Amino acid sequence: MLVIGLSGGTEAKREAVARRINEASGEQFAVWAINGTRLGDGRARSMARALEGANHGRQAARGLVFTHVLTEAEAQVIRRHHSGHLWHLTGPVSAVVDIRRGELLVTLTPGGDRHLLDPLEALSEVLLAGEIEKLKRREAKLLSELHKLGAGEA
Amino acid sequence: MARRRASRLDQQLEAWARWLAQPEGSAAPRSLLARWMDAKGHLIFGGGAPGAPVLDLLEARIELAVRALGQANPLAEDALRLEYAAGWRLVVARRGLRGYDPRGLTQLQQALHLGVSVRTYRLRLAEARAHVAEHIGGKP
Repeated sequence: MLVIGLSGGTEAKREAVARRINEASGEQFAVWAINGTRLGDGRARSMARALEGANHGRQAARGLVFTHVLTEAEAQVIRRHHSGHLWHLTGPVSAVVDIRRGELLVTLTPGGDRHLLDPLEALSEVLLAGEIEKLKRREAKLLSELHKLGAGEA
Repeated sequence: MARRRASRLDQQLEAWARWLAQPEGSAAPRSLLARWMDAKGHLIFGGGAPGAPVLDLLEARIELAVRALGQANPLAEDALRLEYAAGWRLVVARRGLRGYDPRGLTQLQQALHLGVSVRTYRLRLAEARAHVAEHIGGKP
């Protein structure tokens, strides 16, 4: 399950991006938003519980979007997830959540703007990265099985 | 990205797709794509048997332009074929695409089938359209 967290921008922009992801994925990405302006550890704990619930739910979504990542603690919840991706919306970027190497910068401008990707472009990057990861795991598994076969024959 | 308005080139490319997809056994000649695959890519337009009609169709010219483009830029050719569902079976066969159904696919899905990002897909598609437009004397 892919996890995307949206940081920076404005509340309205993040909600617009979350909607685009939901639509583009054929509603296979569930959207989860903690509204309100009280910042504290409770938000990160709620996020972690939501992730836990999504993993064990009756009907697993293909992905989960956390619309309002407002603190570094919440960002860490996303980063710790094996398929977590933190997107930083421009206009303005967050003053609280760090932008780390490999994390995408996203704009609502259709077609993106140089290094800024529009939501569809960013989603395709994330989905492609997931496919590549799956292929690498499959390849590693195959090599391991071949190695065992070779060792068995020897 | 908001969809562009359909242009004259879009109409011509859609005509090209319909021309490639002409079914066998219909009053129309066997589809060009089928004949081209049988001839293993060496189909000559209008140079066949004496008295054979010369094909100077716009759609034929588009197909020639696309194939020429594919020599140098195969991804651009494939993006164009998938976008307009024109000879998409060629792309499926060439790339070994599994479970590909051209109906109702978004650009995101097309890009993922080709293993590229949406931005790359759109760039190659734009290159392909510009190439075709230049060859048929239109605007992309």
